[in-house]
Amino acid sequence: MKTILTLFITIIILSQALFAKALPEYALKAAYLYNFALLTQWVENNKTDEFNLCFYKKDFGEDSDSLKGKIIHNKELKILDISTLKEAKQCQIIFVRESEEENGSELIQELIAEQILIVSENENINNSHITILRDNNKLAFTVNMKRLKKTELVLSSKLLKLAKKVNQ
Amino acid sequence: MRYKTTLGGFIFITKLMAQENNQIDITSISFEELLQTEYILASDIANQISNSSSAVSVVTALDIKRYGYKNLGEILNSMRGLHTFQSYGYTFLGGRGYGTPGDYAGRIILLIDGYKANESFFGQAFFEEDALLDVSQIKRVEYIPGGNSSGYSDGALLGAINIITKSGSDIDGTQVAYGFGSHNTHTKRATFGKKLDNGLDVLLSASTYDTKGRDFTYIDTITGDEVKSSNNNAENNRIFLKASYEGFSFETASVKSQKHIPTYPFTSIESELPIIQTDNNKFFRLKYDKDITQNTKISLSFWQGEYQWEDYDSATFISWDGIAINETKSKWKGNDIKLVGTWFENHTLSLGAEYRNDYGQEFYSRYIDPIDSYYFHRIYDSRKTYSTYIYDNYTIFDNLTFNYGTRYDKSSYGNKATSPQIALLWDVTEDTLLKLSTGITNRQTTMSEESGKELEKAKKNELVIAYSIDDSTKILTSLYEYKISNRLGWMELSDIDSKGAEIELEKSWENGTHFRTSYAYQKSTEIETNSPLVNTPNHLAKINLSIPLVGEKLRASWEINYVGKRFDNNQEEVSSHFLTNVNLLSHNYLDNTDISFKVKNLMDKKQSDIIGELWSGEKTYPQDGRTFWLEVEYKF
Repeated sequence: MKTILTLFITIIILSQALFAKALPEYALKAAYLYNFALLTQWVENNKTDEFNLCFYKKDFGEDSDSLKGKIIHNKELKILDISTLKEAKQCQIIFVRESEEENGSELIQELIAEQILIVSENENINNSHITILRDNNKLAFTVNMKRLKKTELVLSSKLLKLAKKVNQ
Repeated sequence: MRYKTTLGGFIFITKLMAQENNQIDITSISFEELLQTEYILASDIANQISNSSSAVSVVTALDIKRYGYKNLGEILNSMRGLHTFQSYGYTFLGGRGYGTPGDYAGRIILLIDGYKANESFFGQAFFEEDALLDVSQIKRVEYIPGGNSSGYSDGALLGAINIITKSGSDIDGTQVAYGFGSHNTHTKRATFGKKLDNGLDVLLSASTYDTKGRDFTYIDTITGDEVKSSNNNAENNRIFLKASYEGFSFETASVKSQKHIPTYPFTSIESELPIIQTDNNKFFRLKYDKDITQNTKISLSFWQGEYQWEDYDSATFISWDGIAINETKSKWKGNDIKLVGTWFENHTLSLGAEYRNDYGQEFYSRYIDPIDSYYFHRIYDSRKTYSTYIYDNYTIFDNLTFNYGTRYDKSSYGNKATSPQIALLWDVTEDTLLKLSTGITNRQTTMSEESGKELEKAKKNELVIAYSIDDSTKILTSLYEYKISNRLGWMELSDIDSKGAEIELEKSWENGTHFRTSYAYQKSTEIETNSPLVNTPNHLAKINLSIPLVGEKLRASWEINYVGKRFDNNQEEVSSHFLTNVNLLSHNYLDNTDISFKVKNLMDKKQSDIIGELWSGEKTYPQDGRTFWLEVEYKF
């Protein structure tokens, strides 16, 4: 038992020196959302005064707080936790966690033609536009163009180029 | 180019080092750099199984609602390559070339949020109304075939079932539910769940179940008369509590289940009095998860459980003028520590240590009438098991991952075992993933089995190919072989050779229609006698189709389960059967109300399950004909 403990501690200490490129999962996901916001064009840009980055039920806490106040398409970014259709319509982006799949997909169903970019963690969530996936030790994302065509959102070519997969 | 990337990486690392935990401005990192950045698992690390190298199947809360699954057994029965079978007392699980009837210690372990939920006397997991959880508390059920799950617990010889429970925020309010159905069966449930403003997430659920049970008809082995037994009622009470606050989580579940069993399987003596079987099962677990540094996550847990089985037998010993009680008691407790670290580039290391103590284990039989006296009483030595494991997930190239590691268990009964696993995961193309794995897994005896023998051992090789035809269509295939040696049981058993092939197709449509079908071929042979293993059908097939009729307001779901012919304990053939179930779900048609109406065995087919050798006279257990179930759930 003692040997194992020593081993653990040694590895932790060593690890500080051998820092690998890594970030907590949701800090990384927040950074992805920030980039999606930058690389997407909303045709109708005067729906709200602020740029509303919405999270279905729960945001990322500290990890998403760092995005507050950033400027996206000349608007100040605001973080909102939403759960109703009325709240959802105020959003530019809605993120649905895998754990909220059951209730979240119902809400999204109602938003198919809206100018809202839907991002999820599960490809099975119907009508999500971008899915962030765990791809070995890194994250990757896929884009569903078929679903995007129902909206008037325009994704930049850079975003499409960086996608792991674009489903036509 | 290479120089540029290295330089970029260097600047990035310097940036990370310059800024303390979470202080980094994530918006200053370019998107290209983000794609090259490794993530540190955020969610509960002990529950991370989905990324496993085997062919994982998942059933979600949505599926449970849509198909009207009433207990865990029904959920598992819908999964590729698994089949459940019922006996007078319990439901058992078979899969991957294994299905010995009456064998409590399944070769597939059951985990609840990562906690091993098999009790420690018989090693049994419960799948019916005697299960620890009501299905309404389940968020998803993952079936991880193969020994790769051995890292999560001892004894996952052929795989693991991992249940992820809901949390308070999933319920977000109060639910009350009432159900009734055939055989005068009723269920009642109340669930409260909420995430409070201060961050505390709570879920509390209580439920009851009672049934009059169905009638059994059998031939009295002495008189040859047909006898009808209608005294087959059953009931249960269940409580589940889960609370989490910041890194701490606590969960506890308790079930008391009682079942009347017609006496004839045990004895030839005709009796109006049933055997009354009681199962009391409970556990709690306290867990703490924390990110200690940017790239180190720790998880600590402490758990304790207790199981008691009682058999009130008023018939078997009637000729000796006695009423007898058989009883077992068992307790277990333990703790574990797990570290997940991304200390080295392209490596995710998991290290863990576990201590488990199976104690308070006893079995007794005693008369309570005419005089209270033991005629058998055995107290077992407690068994302490120490385990450690280390696994590494090494990303060699962007599309190639090497997964390897081992688990080591040592018990105070003198057993030692090493369970190494190796897997290679290769993204052949954008749409095709290939997984190749091999490994050895061990299982300790349960108290009820003959102890002191070598550990049961399974050697496995498997090839899995996952292919996405398009965004909504997926195909999964698996080829596997096992060799099980030193089989544990109540007697000497032959080694087994198993081979199998599985295929699963899943497709969903934008309107919400969902289709899944699977076929599994399995062949298990007892090496010594070259005979097929009892109750292991060569063919298993499933079809699941769920269609929204009026949006999500009304949905119809249909499933067919096929179990091929198999052999009973006398090597006599038991015929195959198709079972068709249909469920209609009305969701929010009436405000905040879900109504579900299910017909099981729609075609009213006659079919039987094979039962254990313990039961004299009977070889199979006749299953229910057509039954119905209606349930109403109201949320506020």
